Amino acid sequence: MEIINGFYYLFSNSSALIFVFAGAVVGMVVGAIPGLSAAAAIAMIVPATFYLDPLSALGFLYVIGKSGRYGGSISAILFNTPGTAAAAATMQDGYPMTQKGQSGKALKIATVASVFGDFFGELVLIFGVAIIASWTLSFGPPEYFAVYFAAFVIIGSVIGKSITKGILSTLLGALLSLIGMDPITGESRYTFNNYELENGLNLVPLLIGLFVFSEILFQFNQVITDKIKTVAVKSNLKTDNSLSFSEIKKCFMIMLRSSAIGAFIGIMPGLGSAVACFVAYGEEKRRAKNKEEWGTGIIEGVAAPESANNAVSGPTMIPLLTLGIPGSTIAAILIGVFLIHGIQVGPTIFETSKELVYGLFACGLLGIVIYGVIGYFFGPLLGRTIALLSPNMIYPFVLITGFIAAYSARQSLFDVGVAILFGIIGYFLRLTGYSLPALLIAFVLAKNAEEAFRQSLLLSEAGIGIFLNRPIAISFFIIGFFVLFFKIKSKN
Amino acid sequence: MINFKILKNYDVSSGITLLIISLFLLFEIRLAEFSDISTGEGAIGPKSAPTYLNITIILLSILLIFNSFFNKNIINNNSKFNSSLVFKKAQLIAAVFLYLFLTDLVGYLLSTFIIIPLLLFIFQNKNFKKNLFISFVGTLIYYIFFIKILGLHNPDPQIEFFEVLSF
Repeated sequence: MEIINGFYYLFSNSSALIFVFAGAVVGMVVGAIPGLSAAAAIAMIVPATFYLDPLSALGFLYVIGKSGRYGGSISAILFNTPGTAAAAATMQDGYPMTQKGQSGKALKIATVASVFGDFFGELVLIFGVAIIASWTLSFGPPEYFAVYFAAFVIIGSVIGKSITKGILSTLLGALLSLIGMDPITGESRYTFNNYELENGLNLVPLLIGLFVFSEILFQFNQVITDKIKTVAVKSNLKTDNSLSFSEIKKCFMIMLRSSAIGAFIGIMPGLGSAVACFVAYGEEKRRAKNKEEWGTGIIEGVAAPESANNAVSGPTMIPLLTLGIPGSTIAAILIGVFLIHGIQVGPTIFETSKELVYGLFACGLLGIVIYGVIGYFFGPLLGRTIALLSPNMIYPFVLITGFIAAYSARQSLFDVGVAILFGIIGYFLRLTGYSLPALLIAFVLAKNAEEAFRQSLLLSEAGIGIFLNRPIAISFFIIGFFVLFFKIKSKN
Repeated sequence: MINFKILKNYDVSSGITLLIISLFLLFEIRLAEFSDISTGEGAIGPKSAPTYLNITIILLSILLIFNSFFNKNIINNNSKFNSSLVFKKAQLIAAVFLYLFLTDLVGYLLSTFIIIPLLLFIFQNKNFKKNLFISFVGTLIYYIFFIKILGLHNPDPQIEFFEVLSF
């Protein structure tokens, strides 16, 4: 079992163990602060991980992503404000439970369901990824271009409310990635004689701009008009703070089904936790005998979305590790971190960095245990502490940390300017309904897609016909067009 | 006569913006001269991907604008224009640019000390003395953590006098 070797690799690296623990705590805290997402936290922390060994760096960020998803449920339950989009469905029953004085019970079932879902997703990742990777090993440039093409179309069409805007977001991200030197001829494109643009836009300032600065601008009105209410409703009854075994047993099948939904959605690039939690909530409500009680504050209504949104976490790594395609914002950031540490992501990673990959899975499993234990016993305390913090005191420091993080990536003030500019652009894109995750994922992928396209044509004597001679490539083109067609049809 | 009210429709305004930008970028790449003529043109040249991308963006922008005239469920900017909030947001953006300018001019330490109270004020924390104290402690923590522990390069100030604060 490779995962045993992964644990051995992890436990022989004390620095990685410390960072897994730190990741669990940081993710929970950031996820629980309304308006601050795990992606924003990771964007700010990425430069600090440049100097760490690959396992510590990747394990740290991976666990922040996991515990951040869970942390979002704390503010959803206590303050009726989801810390992350993934926790939006948890509010439906979580907050009514708090109003009934059962916040302790709600937080405990959220923890149990999150841990259950996350473990389920991680197991799907561990057992599924190697099988798919062995299949994708035979892919050449034409197959890769087809995969990238399908990913762009699928992500663009499913990620937002508008298909046109979703695809435009991916195209904008792809266009931004073309700034700098051409990957084959080495000539400059869109640099406008600016020396700083020769190497292209750096991922970190782009991340800071799109996910930290634009978020601050977006939340600004709410923060200064005090619309984010961080007032926890206190629970007084002791029985309302505990969770019995029979209650867990009652939710077991709900957690299992919701985890399966979350894991399936996680494999699809672009859908993510926010979709999974609502699909699982809707499905379980539909199946329930006590439909009228859903939304009034019942544990099943917390268990379903929480298992689903956490089950997404592991499977989003499947397209990343097998095809080099990030399925979510966090996976897109991780691909950048892999590259910074000189590791090429794709099916060959299981030949070149097997220990690291399974070590990362072990980090994920350990991280789940850590945030589960902390969340179960200290979740209410964390919620009460966050209630004391005022968002208008936190946001100035988030902004300054983002500023320094953008600078520290290449120690360049030009990068800070880029981050500010993309903060403003990102704000307007969000305001007008464009998708920033789609833009980011396309930015990360587009250079490889262009290389694959041009390499295919260089290999080919039949020109663009090379794509039609490859059955796997054709299959991926068909999948892309099928999803697009299906989405257009469902919109109409 | 042009009815500028149509620009309040986000689909139209964003579509027009993207159309202008991608037209400019299309001309820019088509007019660019690459030293290697054999790879400059055709499907495998450096012009190919930007050309295809820009053409697709132009077509989709036109589609977006066109659809907005027929789609009744479009996002309209119907929110009341709150000049005070817009002004505060502009202050925030100006403060971030000021921070960038000051960091270049006087270095990281002093600029952070100046900008924290300003940002706290913009975020409606109006107690000046408290803000100053928070700024002092905050700057110290940032300095120790980023410069001393993480070993971040402290940008050299343009004004030599302030190099004394760069340590």
